Amino acid sequence: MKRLVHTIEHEFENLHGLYPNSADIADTQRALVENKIATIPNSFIDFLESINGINYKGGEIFGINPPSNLAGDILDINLKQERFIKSKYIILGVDDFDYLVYNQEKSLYQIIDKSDLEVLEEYPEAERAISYILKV
Amino acid sequence: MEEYKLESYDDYINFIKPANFDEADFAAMTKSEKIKILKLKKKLFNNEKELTKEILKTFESKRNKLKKGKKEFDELLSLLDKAGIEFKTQEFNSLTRAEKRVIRMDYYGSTTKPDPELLSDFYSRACKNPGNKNRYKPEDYDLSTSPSWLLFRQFKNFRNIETRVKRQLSESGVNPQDLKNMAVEDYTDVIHNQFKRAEDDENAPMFLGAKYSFVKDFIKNFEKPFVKILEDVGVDKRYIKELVKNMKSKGMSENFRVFDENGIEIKGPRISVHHKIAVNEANSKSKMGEINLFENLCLCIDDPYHGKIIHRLDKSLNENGRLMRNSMAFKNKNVVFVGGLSPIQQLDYDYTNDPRTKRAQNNVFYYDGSFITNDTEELREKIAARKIMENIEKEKSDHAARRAERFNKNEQKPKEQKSLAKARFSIQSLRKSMRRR
Repeated sequence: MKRLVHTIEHEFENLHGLYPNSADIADTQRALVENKIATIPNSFIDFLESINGINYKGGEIFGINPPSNLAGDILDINLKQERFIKSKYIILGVDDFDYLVYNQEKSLYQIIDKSDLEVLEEYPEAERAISYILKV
Repeated sequence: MEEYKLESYDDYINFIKPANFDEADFAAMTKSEKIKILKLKKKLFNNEKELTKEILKTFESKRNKLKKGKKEFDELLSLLDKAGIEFKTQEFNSLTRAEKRVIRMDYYGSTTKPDPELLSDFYSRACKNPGNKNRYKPEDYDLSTSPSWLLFRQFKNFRNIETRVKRQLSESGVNPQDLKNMAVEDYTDVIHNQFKRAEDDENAPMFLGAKYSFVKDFIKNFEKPFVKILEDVGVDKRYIKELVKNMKSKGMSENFRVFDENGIEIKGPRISVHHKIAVNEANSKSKMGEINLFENLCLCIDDPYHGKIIHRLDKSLNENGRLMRNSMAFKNKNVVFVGGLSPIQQLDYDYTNDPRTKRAQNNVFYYDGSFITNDTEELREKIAARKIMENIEKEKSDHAARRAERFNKNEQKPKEQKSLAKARFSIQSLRKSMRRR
């Protein structure tokens, strides 16, 4: 994960002030549980603690109450989404063609085609899934 | 000074369209003409705002009732029509995973490393054996023998990297005889290994993807009217400046932040790239190579036009075994930028008159599972010929199936029945021959 964060920080200027605080993380996880939405996996939070949401090369990783309009808010987006079973999936990012979701039942990150919802890739770890979306 | 005669509604719209707007002409106008123009412009902007609001409200409030054939749906269609958007339901062929992968690679110009589990056994074995390295020369590989590579070859970008693909195949020690069995994932691995910048790189950039080259080309040709539309819809000039800078240098309309003198972030609209014919609607596989051409791409202000309107009714359906798809499209097929639903907030360009289009079309190769060509006539002929052959084959197999069915029925008859039928047949033939005599 360090390598990925380093690459993004190197390629992207002005990332300052994009870190969530622990209270925000806890509040969001609580709100997700209350709304019967799958929670954010810890490996993904590791990334958000360094870069809280980013929009890069057309790929977007959502953040926790992100302070910039670079990225959407995980809670907002998942409250509104109607395409996935909320208790099983949480949407964490998106690019021009695909969603990045975490499938809680399978404990896997999945890349899913926006158009027909076909699962195209599966990753056990967050780093490769984020790389896929951000093209880094 | 000559007085401009702008009489009809269309005259005004055409005049104030950002691509046509000439500040010197405007300055030369009489005061009354200027007032007319400005009033009309304001009216068009207000109408657009109302229309957008109404469309979004309809989507929200009638979300559960929006069904084809219902009154609410017809009302929505009429609103969309006013906004220059058409709704359509059409049959489509679902793309295979391999095709989706190739389209994405061409669009982004980069690839992630494929899952090792998806690689063919023979390919993995060849790569793992260090003795195979450079056993064959790059010129030993004839990529035209590989059906999977023919999928890539439909795109000019991949044809341009064939030399490097062959070099990597040689380095990996793949047997040239195995090219015909290589899968798209194997080639993705070959390409990833060839283009990665460091050993542990997850993503390997291959070339400037269709997306970024479109953005660069757009800003090169439409900077002035594009900036004007953004200014007209109230985007901060400092944000526009940074956006244009990024579009020019990186072909990206994202990945930048702008701050004011107090360190407060200046927010602005996101601009995204839209496929006018959706990737999954590339109905015929033979059209796959055209899906990322400039003429099929346009830029859109993301919120609300791209994200909340144009893709709002996207849905795939299975109607009596036929795969159908609901979608919306801009009626103006030449649109290259959508900054709003009014014509004065859009830019268009007719790529059919652009010499680059002809070149690009000549460079698109059509692949239909068994042959590849860049000649559309030849493609049509071959498809027609193949259809005839398919029909003949089908008739043959239907005939064989009918015969087999009859045979099976006969076989299933009990022995006694069979011999009784045989006896009846011989009595009948005996009677017939007696009658003849």
